[in-house]
Amino acid sequence: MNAIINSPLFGILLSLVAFEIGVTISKKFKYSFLNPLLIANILIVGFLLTTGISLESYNVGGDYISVMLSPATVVLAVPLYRQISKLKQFWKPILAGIFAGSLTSLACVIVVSKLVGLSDTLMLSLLPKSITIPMGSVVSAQIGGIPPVTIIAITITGITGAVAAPAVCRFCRIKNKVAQGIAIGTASHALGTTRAMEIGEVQGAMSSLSIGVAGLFTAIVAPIIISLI
Amino acid sequence: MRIPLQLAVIFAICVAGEFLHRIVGVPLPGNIIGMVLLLILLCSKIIKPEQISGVSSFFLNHLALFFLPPSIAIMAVGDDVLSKWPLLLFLCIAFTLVTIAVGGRVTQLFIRKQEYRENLALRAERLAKRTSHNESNGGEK
Repeated sequence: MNAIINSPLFGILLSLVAFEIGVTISKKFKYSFLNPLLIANILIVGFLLTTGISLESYNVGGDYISVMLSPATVVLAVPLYRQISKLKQFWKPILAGIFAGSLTSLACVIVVSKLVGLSDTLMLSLLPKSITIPMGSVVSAQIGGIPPVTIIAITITGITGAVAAPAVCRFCRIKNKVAQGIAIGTASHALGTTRAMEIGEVQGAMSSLSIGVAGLFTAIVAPIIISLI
Repeated sequence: MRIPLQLAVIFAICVAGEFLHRIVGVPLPGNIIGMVLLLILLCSKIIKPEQISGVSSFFLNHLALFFLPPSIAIMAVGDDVLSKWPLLLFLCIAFTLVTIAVGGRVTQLFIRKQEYRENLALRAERLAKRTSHNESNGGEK
């Protein structure tokens, strides 16, 4: 049995099955908080803990899938390219909004972490929480955070954006469609964008444009801010 | 392009990104440099989006699958992190709301400024047209 558990096939199969269960459940119930990644994560962690199979055994196969994070990030350029023409009319407001939103996210994490006395490692893990996972997890590793903590934080952030964005926009009287899209994409990456697409076409396009721009901006600025404090 | 060739192009860009990060020393993660490289190739029309659509839509449609295995390492984080989860959860939610508010308000403010300026310019233009029109009319009389 050990020979099978320690073969790469085991981790790959477990990941695929758990992921499909996660997708099926979230499609069936359509609640934003039933995120396929979170469900699959809980299923696999639960399975490994109950069977006593080690994380190392799982990773023999899991690592094959993790390698694909790199090409998955590279192809994010395709949707960004498709949206880039939409920058033309309002490029100044759009860039100003994305930069302001990204800086707000970074500043919130640093200031509040210092106030409540979080450890530096946790603060660094939370820092890239508003950007898309393939970028955020590598930025986290680069600045000294714990990537799995970052991945969970990014997912919670995305779910929050998807659930609460319309209410926040109403409360803060953000009525402009472009502004709504930029706000959602900058704060809550691809997960929020799925909600933005439901709200409207302009909001969806602006939100998906923000994913790439906010990710790139944060990847450049976060290490600089860290070196300053 | 056939799928193996599409994959070769995407992986070549990944390797180029890693090269620029590790050997040349560009201070951005290799995969993010790779994304910028592909964006440049697309904008300069060297690669057309249709040429890599087989591979790109596969990755984009199932993006979450590729960060599932890295997320499982959450098992290995220490109790010091686990005990902080309620706080981390609260902070993530609160920060997201603030970020949406600031990002949206700033964008809206700048759009209104731009529209106000464009409106002023438009009105000035119309006014200039009307006065010149009146003048020419007046001249005929």
